Amino acid sequence: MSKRHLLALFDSFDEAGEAILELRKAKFKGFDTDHDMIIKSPIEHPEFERVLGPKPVHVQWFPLFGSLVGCTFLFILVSGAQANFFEQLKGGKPIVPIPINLVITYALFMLSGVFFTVLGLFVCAGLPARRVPLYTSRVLDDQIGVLVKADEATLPAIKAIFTKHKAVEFQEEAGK
Amino acid sequence: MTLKIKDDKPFLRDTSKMLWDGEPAHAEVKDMSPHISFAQITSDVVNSLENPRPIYWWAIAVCVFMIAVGVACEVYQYRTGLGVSNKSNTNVWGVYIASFVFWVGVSHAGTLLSALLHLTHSDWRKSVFRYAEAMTTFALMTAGLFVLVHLGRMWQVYYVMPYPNERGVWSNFQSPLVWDMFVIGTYLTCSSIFLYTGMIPDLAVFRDNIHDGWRKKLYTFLAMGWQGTDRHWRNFRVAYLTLSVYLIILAVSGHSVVSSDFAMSQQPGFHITSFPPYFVVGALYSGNAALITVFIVLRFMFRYEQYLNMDVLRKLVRLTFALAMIWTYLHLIEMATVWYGHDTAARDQLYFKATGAYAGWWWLFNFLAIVCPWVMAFRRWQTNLPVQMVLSLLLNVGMWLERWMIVAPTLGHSHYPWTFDFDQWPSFVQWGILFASFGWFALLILIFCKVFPAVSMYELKELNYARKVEAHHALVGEPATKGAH
Amino acid sequence: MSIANLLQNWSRYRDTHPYGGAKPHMGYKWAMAIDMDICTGCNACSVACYAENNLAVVGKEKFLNGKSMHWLRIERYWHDTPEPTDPLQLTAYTASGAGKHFPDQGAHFLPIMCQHCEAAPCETVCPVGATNHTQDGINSQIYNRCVGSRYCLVNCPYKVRYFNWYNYQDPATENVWPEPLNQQLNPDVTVRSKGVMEKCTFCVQRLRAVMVDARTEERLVREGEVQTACQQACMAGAISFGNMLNPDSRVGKQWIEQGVNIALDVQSKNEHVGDNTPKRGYRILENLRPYPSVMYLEQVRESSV
Ligand code: SF4
Ligand code: SF4
Repeated sequence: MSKRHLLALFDSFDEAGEAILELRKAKFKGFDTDHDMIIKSPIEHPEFERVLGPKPVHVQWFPLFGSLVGCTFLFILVSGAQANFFEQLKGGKPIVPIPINLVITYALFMLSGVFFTVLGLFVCAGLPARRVPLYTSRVLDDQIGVLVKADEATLPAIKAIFTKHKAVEFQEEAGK
Repeated sequence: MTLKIKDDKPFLRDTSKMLWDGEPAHAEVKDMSPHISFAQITSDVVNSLENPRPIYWWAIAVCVFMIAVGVACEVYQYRTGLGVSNKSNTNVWGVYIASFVFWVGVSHAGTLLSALLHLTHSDWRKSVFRYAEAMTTFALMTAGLFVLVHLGRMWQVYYVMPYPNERGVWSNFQSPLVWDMFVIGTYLTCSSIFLYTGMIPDLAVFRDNIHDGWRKKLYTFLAMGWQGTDRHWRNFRVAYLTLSVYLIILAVSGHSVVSSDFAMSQQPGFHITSFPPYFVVGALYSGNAALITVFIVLRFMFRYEQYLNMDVLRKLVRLTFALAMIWTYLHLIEMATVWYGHDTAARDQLYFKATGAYAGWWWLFNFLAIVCPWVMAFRRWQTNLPVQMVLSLLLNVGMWLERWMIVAPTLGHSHYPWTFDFDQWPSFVQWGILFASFGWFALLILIFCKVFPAVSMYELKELNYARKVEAHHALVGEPATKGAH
Repeated sequence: MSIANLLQNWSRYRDTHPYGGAKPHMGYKWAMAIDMDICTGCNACSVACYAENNLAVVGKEKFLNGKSMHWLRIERYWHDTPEPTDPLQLTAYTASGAGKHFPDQGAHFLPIMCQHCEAAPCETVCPVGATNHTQDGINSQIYNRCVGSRYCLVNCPYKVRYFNWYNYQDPATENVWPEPLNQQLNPDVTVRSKGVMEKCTFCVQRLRAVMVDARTEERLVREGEVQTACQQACMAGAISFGNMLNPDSRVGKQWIEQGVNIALDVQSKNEHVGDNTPKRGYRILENLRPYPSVMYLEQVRESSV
């Protein structure tokens, strides 16, 4: 059976949330509530997102990794570069002065951390993304959208649940 | 437009967990109507791109003129040599370095507002932080120009960068100027990234609301296919929080390193341990004053009265006053330390500032930067636009003079009496370039506000939503937040 | 910049100088001693330096504006005013003459050039590494590398660095060597362009010439084989210059005689009990710990003996 997308638009988080909770309870066949449902909203609302079930975020490991790698790399680079000036002392300091190198290392610690955070955001959030077929600009404006992917046969039942919870509008993928 | 939050509906979740845990009430910000709809916010901001007041175009013209003056001065200086800026072998630094420090300072307020207040959940920042962040980026770009202008051979500035080369020659990593290059470069890169990342959801709104022309292409490209899905928001939230932590550290380390340009040297008057915190707070202070100036200008030019409202202004002014007082304390304690210590050279240097050739300017700066902010302590002046406009400009004049007073008199009075040198009045070239830097900065800000959302739409919507939630709870008699304060 | 190199030589890279264990000077340590008792303040050394090193003569107006290029300058300090009571002026007053004021003796003077500090404050702060401590113990200045940030001058305690504010060889504007004056330029020395810093080099062009000769003969430079231009011009012989590590060198002997140790920031010379030879050697602003390589011998005044 082919799967199709259905986008329902709601006026408030509460209605959308209740619809989702009910969908999760209903346990339709061939409809995985953890993966086949996407919420689109104009603002972030962490508590609301919990109705989708646990969705872990891994972005924070990217900057940790990036920062450590970045500063190690820079320390070696800087010390190695200083070692080029062999026997050329400066101002009574050793050729590889550690406190001084730490200042620079610290800067790269943050630079690479920031780069990796953004990288992490892109990887984890899947950006840059293609727009899915069912998209309306209103989900970035003032409406909450719930996008489901389900077997063609189950769609009417899902739609009924949405309607029950005051979905204001539907968009459906054309059938194949 | 109808209200999207129905007040008669019970809310889905435990209200104490609404938005962030322990979110304080926003009862104080009254100016933005809680009944304004999300669509209204979108259309207000989108419309601001199209119809600024006519004064906007006049301001652009003035900025271009100012830049032209500076470019003329710089061309003259470039062709003839740095001598035309009237420095001497004693007074080798002047307005350029002072302005460099000043502009790096201005950049700090943006980070404070967007990153630090983001971490502490101070909601009033939501309408001002976007342009404040833009100010960070643009002030750093202005500061960077002064480094170029200052160099004797600016065409060889790339020597400062550590690039691999055939001869194995690298920049000198021991020099505070190289630390500057690293840290300011990092700060500029990261603040632009921070600015951009925070703007992605808003760029997506622009992409959807603007239907043709180069803008459409630009926003489509920059929005990167943002669709506001739960996956997007979830990762965005953590990434943005992480970025703001980095940015705070960067802002503090950034100006500390700029201060080490001075503090690491042997020059009496520069070689002061308390310089890093003194510089950082001074930066926040002058940056916040600049924020107020830009606040008033944008509010008028782009008709943002609804969002850049009086309560936000009041908070900004209070913050500035608090920073001014911290700065005053550090300034006084710095002088007290010098006076108390037995370093005669440093003490002479301090006496020289107060009584020597630059004494008038020194006292003027003390008056402007220490006494003037007291006007901000009075509630009735806090939201008076003309007063705050003049005041914020005066404070910035004071803080610029402060930087100049760190550079010029100090170099004129070092350890070595033979080189005491009092009267190096900067020539028109230095003043012209300083003048131009304000035009350049303002031009960048003005262009930014016309091309990008100067007010963050999605954060305003969040603020608006949170307030409706609160209003609802006030109605049904439940506590809106638990454990706030 | 290989990591292997870094790890192998780690201890050498971590040595400090001049007070640590580092021995960076490979056979040479150029140093100077100026005997103020012999010096007459005639300015011949300054003129000689102008001639040898292609220094620009900037003219009266720019001189008064503080843009002069004298690598070696004779400073004058007058002590014809009574000791001021104001503490503010007193410090500056004492700083210039260490409390010795004999109005009848007129001016004090002091020839001063770059002190070629062993731990030079100017070196650390240069962003591009245009100024370095060389293996023969002088403070080098690489004009090609200089970007003109002028930080070195800010950090030099003696302010003996000079910046090229203009292009002094530009025929259109600031030509200080018009025809036929350009014929007298020293071909061994570059004429600096605008935007670079310059300073006394210990006449490095002369040093290098004799060092190359010596190396072809597989020996070190002998005492007396090389003179700096200022030393050569000094008719009284107040300036002695040479390789301090050479036991025959006059300058090395003078430093030992005067009990001035180049690696100390506080000299113990005055603490020798029972040693009655007057110790006149001192270094300027020693307390800032730049460890300068130029020692001055104090002038002995009859009124102060
Ligand atoms: S005297 Fe000045 S220029 Fe010369 S080495 Fe010392 S700090 Fe550098
Ligand atoms: S040693 Fe040479 S460069 Fe230095 S002051 Fe004497 S003549 Fe000039």
